[in-house]
Amino acid sequence: MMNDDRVFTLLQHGDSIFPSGSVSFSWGLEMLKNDNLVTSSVGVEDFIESQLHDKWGTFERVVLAHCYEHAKDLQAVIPADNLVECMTLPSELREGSKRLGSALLSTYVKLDNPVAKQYQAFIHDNKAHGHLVVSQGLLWHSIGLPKNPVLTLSAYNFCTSALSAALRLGLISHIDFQMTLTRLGKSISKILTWPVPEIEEIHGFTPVSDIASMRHEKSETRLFIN
Amino acid sequence: MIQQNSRNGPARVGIGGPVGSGKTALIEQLIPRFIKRGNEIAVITNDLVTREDAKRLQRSGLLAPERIVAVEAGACPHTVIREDPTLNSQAAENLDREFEHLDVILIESGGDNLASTFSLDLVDYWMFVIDTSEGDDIPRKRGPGIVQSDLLVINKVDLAPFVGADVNLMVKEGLEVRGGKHLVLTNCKTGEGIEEVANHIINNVLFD
Repeated sequence: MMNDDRVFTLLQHGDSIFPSGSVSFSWGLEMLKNDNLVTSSVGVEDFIESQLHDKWGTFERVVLAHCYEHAKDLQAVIPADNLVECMTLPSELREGSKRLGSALLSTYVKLDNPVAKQYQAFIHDNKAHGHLVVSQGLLWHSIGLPKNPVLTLSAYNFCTSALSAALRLGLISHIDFQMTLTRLGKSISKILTWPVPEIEEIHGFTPVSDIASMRHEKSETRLFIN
Repeated sequence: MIQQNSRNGPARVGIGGPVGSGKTALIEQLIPRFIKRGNEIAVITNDLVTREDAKRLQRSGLLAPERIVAVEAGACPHTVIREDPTLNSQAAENLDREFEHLDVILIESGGDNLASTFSLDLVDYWMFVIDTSEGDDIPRKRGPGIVQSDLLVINKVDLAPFVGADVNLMVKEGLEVRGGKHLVLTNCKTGEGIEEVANHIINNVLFD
């Protein structure tokens, strides 16, 4: 059970108003919409559901848990950061993850967070990449949030970022947004009961969105970074 | 108004305003003036759908292409310069690290409405560009962009007679709603008024 201070911290850092840069990312959804492969709220929900099951749960969640647990030993975190770099093949998803992770670190640096300053220095010295889930694990550990809420917050942020993109792409309404988010919350709860494997076992299989992201790199008309 | 903050590095100047008001054209006019003064400059654009503004500036040959960076706004032009300017801040910090002698970074917002404003954690000084063809009632419609900007630029003064806009009225009402803060009349096609805009930037953020 979290005390009121922790709940407040969770709300503050999980709020969409917290400056993180996520407003500029669609995670492949823009291209899927442009190709008429996602045309409705049902398609949006399927897209996010598959991302949660076949990538966030098996890949990001594991890295996040690892970085959270090793947050006091940054040298143990860097190999996980390298692994995300090597295993994220679509360029826009890889660069997007780094840009968001670095942007998050940058905000915490301005908030005078020592861990953010230390890890940002590693990035500037080309010793680390600063992928999003790595930054989330380090930073949210540093502000005293417990592990399970951190995992939930990361999944929640991914869902709201993608749903927000879907809203601006005209794929869903604001009511669809909330109804879909409620259903996705149940999926997240199930995923969070999965055992956390070793970091070496991370994997993901989301070929449709990966290909969409690769095609987005060449797209001349684009609202989003990926 | 210049805000105190702990950020070092080049001065950052925001340029906002509605679609088609002449923000990119203003930048094209400002770049050679700063280069002539010996200032090192870089530009960040926030294109909405394409990278048209960034490409236009890169093609112009006014600056090395690597000094012009495009940040996608995810359909929210004001969000990425105000509520969540982290990606623009990040782009500015990257430019600062890459070009160590930079004096000024111009940050062009995507075209937006009259309520658009810049976060003062992102920029040191910001301008709002409107034009006569939008109608001479624009200044008295107020809006935070018109009222709060450090400098209001009224562009396309040459078009005023053809669209029935009263420039004198725009100036009078612009000064009224801005409490006397500066505004400049420009024609970004010919360069009219640009020297005055450059001088405002120099006097307010370059201090030389």
